[in-house]
Formats: sequence, C-alpha cells, structure tokens
Amino acid sequence: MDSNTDISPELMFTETDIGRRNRFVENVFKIFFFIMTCLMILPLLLIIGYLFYKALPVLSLDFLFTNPKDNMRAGGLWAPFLGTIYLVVVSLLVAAPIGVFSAVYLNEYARENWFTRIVNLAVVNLAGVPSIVHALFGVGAFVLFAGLGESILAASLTLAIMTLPVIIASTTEALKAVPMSFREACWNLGATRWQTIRRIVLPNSISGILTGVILQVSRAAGETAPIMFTGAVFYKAIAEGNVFAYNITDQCMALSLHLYTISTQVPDVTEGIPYGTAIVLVGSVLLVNAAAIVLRVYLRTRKRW
Amino acid sequence: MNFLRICFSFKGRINRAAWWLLNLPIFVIFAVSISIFDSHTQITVGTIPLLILVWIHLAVSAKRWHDKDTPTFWILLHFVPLIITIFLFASPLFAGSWILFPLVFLVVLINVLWIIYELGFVKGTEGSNQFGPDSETSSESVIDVYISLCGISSIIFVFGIFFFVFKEGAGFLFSGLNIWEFLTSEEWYPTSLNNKRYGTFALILGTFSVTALAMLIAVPFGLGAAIFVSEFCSPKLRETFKIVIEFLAAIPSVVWGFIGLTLMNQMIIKVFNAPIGLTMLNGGIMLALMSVPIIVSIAEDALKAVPDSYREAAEALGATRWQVIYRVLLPAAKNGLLAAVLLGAARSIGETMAVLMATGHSVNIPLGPLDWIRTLTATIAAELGEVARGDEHYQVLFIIGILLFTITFIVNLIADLVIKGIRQS
Repeated sequence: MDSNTDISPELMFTETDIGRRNRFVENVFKIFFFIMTCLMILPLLLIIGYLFYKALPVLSLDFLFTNPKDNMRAGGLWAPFLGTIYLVVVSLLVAAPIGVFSAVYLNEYARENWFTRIVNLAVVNLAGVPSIVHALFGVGAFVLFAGLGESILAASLTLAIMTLPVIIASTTEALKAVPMSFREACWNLGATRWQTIRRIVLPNSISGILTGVILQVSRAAGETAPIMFTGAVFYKAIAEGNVFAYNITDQCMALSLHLYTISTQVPDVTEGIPYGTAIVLVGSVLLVNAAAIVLRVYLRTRKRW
Repeated sequence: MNFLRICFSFKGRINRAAWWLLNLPIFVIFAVSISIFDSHTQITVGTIPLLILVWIHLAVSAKRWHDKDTPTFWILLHFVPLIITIFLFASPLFAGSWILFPLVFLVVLINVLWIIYELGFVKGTEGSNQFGPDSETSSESVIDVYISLCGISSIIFVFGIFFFVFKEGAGFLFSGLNIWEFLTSEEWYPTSLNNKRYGTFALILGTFSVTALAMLIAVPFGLGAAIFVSEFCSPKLRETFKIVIEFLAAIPSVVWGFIGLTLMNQMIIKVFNAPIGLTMLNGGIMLALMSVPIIVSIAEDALKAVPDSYREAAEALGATRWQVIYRVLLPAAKNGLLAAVLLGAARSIGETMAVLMATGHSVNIPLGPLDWIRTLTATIAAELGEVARGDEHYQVLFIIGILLFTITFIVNLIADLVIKGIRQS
C-alpha cells in the first residue's frame, strides 16, 4: 500500500515503455487483421466488376427476353431465365411450409431430449450433404422411384430438400428471438399451444421467417449440380414472352446450368454472352439477398421489445 | 379427439381448418396420381393407399356435415360425380350423344364446388349439437401431427438420401466391386472396352489435396477476419462487413467455376508462366473464397460466445486488446474455431461445379499446386449424364456418392460434437 501512495499522479498516467510497446503491437495486429478482412472482400468487388466489364457489350433488355440462338452461340437468356424462376418457385412452395413448421417443431414443441438432439443433428447433416449427392438422391428417389422422370417437379423437389436447412436455421433464429414472456402471457390466458404460436409467436417472428425464405430463393437459384440430372437440360426452345411456356412435368433450361454449358461445352460462343449470363445470375442472386437484408434491417428498427 | 379418430371415425364433429388440412393433401395426391398414371397403368398395389385416402376423405367430410348439424348420409353427395361419370362412359344411353357431355360436366362441377363451399367455408353450428360439443379446437391435433411430421422430416430426408443413393449402387457394391482396389488403385478407366478399372485413389487424393490447399488459404483469412469483425470493429463497420460476407457466400458455385475458368486461369498462366491455369491452385483459391464466409460466420459466433466477463477480467488486469485475444479469447473459443474450420472443409469437400470447371478435371496424382487434378464430386457430375442406368459404371458413381456422403457425415458429426463440447463445459 505504502509504495503505491508514493507514486506521484504524473508518473501514474505516463506511459511506460512496456505500455507503449503493447499499444504498438495491438495496433500492428489491428491493421493486420483489417488488411486480411479487406483482402477477403476485395475479390467480391473485383469479380463483379470484371464480369460486368466483360458483359457490357451484350447487356440489354433484349438479352433477357430472347431465346438462345444458333446452338447457344448467340441470342439471349429467356428460356434459362424462365426455367430458373419455375424451379425456384416450385421448390419454394415445397420447402417453405416444411421448413417453417420444422423450425416451429424444434423450437416450440420438442423437449430437450435425445430425440431432439438427433433431429438437430439431422438438420446439420442435411445442410452438409454435398450438392452432387443431393443430385444422386434426386435421380434415385424422384426421377426413378417416384416415376416423375426428369422434370421441373423432380428438380424442384431435390432443390427443396437441399435448401430446407436454410429456412429451418433462420426460422429457428427468428422464433428464438420472441421473448418467452410473450408465450407465457398467452398460455396464462388459457390459449392452446397452437393458438399461442399462430397469434403470438408467428406474427412476432415473421420478419426473420421471411428473411429465411428469401435466402432459400437465392440459394436455390444458384445451384447447378442438383438439377443437372433431375430436370434441367442443356437446350430447350420455348415461346418467347410467354411466362407459362413450361409445364411442370417438362424439362427446362436453367441459368446456372446454361452458364456451365456455354462456358465449357459449346465452342465459339459469342464473346460476352457467358459473362452476361454470369452477371445476370450473380445479379439476381445478390438482388434477392439484398432484399432479405433490407427487410431484416427495416423490421429490426420496428421491433417493439 | 385424437388424430386417428379424426382421420377414420364417422362420429363426432370437426371444424373447417381440420377439413382443409386433411383434404388438401388428399386432393394433391389424387391430382398427381391421375397425371402420372395413364390409362395403360393397371390397377396395382398403388390403389390400396388411394382407397384409404378415399375413406379418410369420407370420414372427415361426414364429421364436417355433422358440424353443420346434417346427418351422415349426406356424404352420398360425394359419389354423385363418380356415378355420373361411370354412367357417361358405360351406359349405351349416353353413347354417341356428345351434346350431353358439357351438360354433365357442368352438373359435376356445380356439385363439387358446392360441396367444397359447404364443407370448406361455412361455419358449423355454435355450441353443441346432436353430434357432439363445439368443434372450435378440433383442428389442433391435426396441426400438431403435421408440425411433428415436418419436424422429423429432416431425419427422414437424411435417411432417404442414404437409402436411395445406396439402393442405386448396392448391386455392384456387394457383387463384383473390389472395395480395396476401389479405394487404393489410381486407375480410373470406367469406359475401357476390355478392362474396366474403377480405382478412385487419385480422385480421393484430388479431393483432399484441393481441400487442404483451400483450407491453407481460407483458415488464416477466415479466422483473421472473424477476429477483426468481432473484436476490433465499430458496430457500424461490423454490420457492413457482415453484409459483404453474406454477399460473398451467396455467389453461386458455378459462377466461381466460371471465374476460375476465365480470370483466375489467365492470372495463373501469367504469374507462374504455366502452360495452363486450370490447376489445383486455381480450384483451391476458388474453394477458399467459397468457404471463407462459413469460417468467418461460425468463428465469429464462437468468439461472441465467450462471456464478456472474461474480457473484462483480462482488461482489468491491464492486458491490451491483443493480449486479451491471444491469451483469453482464442483458448476459450478454440472448440468453436475448430468447428468453423471443419465445416469450411466439409463445404470444400462437397463442392462440385467450381472444382469441375477450375481444376483441369484430369485424373492425376498431384505433386504440386500447379498440377491438374480431379475430384470425387466432379467425376460424378461429369460422367453421370453419359452412363446407362443400371450399368456398372453408373453404380460405381453412386458408390462414390455413398463415399462422399460418409465423409461429409463424419466431418459434420465431429464438428457438431466439438460445438456441443463447448456448450457443456
């Protein structure tokens, strides 16, 4: 105690050599980690910029609304673009209800026991199954066993199962964010479990649920491997401008597979078209993601608790 | 009323929600089966489940009629369309007189729409009637069953994936395939005319070497970025970084493959003066960029999970920020960080399109990062379209699928156990 009181205030607040060195080390590491983070982000900007620059000559509205022509060496993206929309919409119709209710089960119904742990483990593993194994499953289960053949339906079901964990994860987050006291208040008024979920839990977590649904869309739109053998084809001509041009039991083209085809399988493609396809694919996926982020930020500001 | 009673019993009352919940799937199943089975399909075992569905439809509808205080025999109305249709096609009375066709169609349509309106949209009697008490909460047990079914669907799907992939490959796996050779031989000649050989050693080595290279790049960057975002950032900058990382994660794998094929290919040719840029290095960089977002987000969660009291205690002892990270946070969060790396690796192992397009796709034992390689996933993607169903080669591709499923399952399981490990301690 005595020795401490001896130190004069000036000395107490002057930086020692060790302190100075520590601060220097800290700053060095801070800058080092900052540079690492930037190096990770730089490629994103670089890639989008590069794709956009290369695609500039072909980009126009016509590019989106005309079919590929001349053995896919020229023309636009109408058939693949519409095909991707079909695949995404059908897979969303299947995955959204199953995913949301699955999360409701895990969060509101399941007790903490070994069975719930197994369900959670299954969700984690479903998220980790390689996309090409999902494709094999789609071939075995939907195309052959269920007799759907190679069709939009089979491909969408494969996509739905593959993207299910995305919806489950974000819905679970959203449900967890609803305070327990809300539920307790509702139960105390004599409401049943489902009434509580429907009137209290779901309305208060709808923003998070929607975010998950939107992320599922962006994920499903970009996938290639699961649809390659279950319903997407290299080439199929459809009527331009008709949004009902595909039948659900038909095969379809898809943007992602189209990008793979014209960049690896087709020789002498007009310069710029693969880049245009890539930028349309990336652009739509990022737009959808941006929508999810805007929704999340907007609804977070409106949160009442 | 429990779920089975609601499905099969003709007694009691139910509300509109229960009617819809049980009938919608039945309608969908019928619509799908009618569109799949053409007139040549014989009556098979498939009709027995359909008959059960008809029973459920009638039982549920009877209880809905009860709910509106109408007697059971009103379900006979549901047979009217069927009877009319049978008459139309079987009776000589109708033969040839196609003028009746639109008329009959109209009658059937009105009948069906009216039933749907009465049962699906009109509320039952308030309070109890002669068939039972008020039906307000009768749909809850149906909803409970549906939600539980959705809840366990993930288990069903994981088993389903294993079962169906296994089923397609099982024939050759148990008869004819030399498993030792399959795993250790580097000779992959599935289309050879007189001596087909299915050795996947080079493919396994390709998968693991490109994953290792990707992790070598991604782990320092991913962990570094996670530390920066979680410990050094202002909240606003953190939000921005997280959004950008989400964008990075959203770029489809086929676009990464395309980047590897074009931009990265040219860069590697220029920088290393290599004859061709589609190499393990190229694929490794692409995989690194793809798995970095996973590593960052999980590692950041792990760092966040360390209680603030740890940081405060260390800072109160005079530790600088870096000392806090190095001495306190990293040891405390090491399990979560390990899980982040494992999940990043699992993602790389399972990635298909990027490695198919960027690594040269040529069976080869890689000696350095500038060699071309071929992975397990890319092999399936490239060859499945060209084999005949049931062929040996076809079955081998499914066996590779089983191998991939097993590898990623084990890696994910370990990651899960590691994460659970921190929660318990």
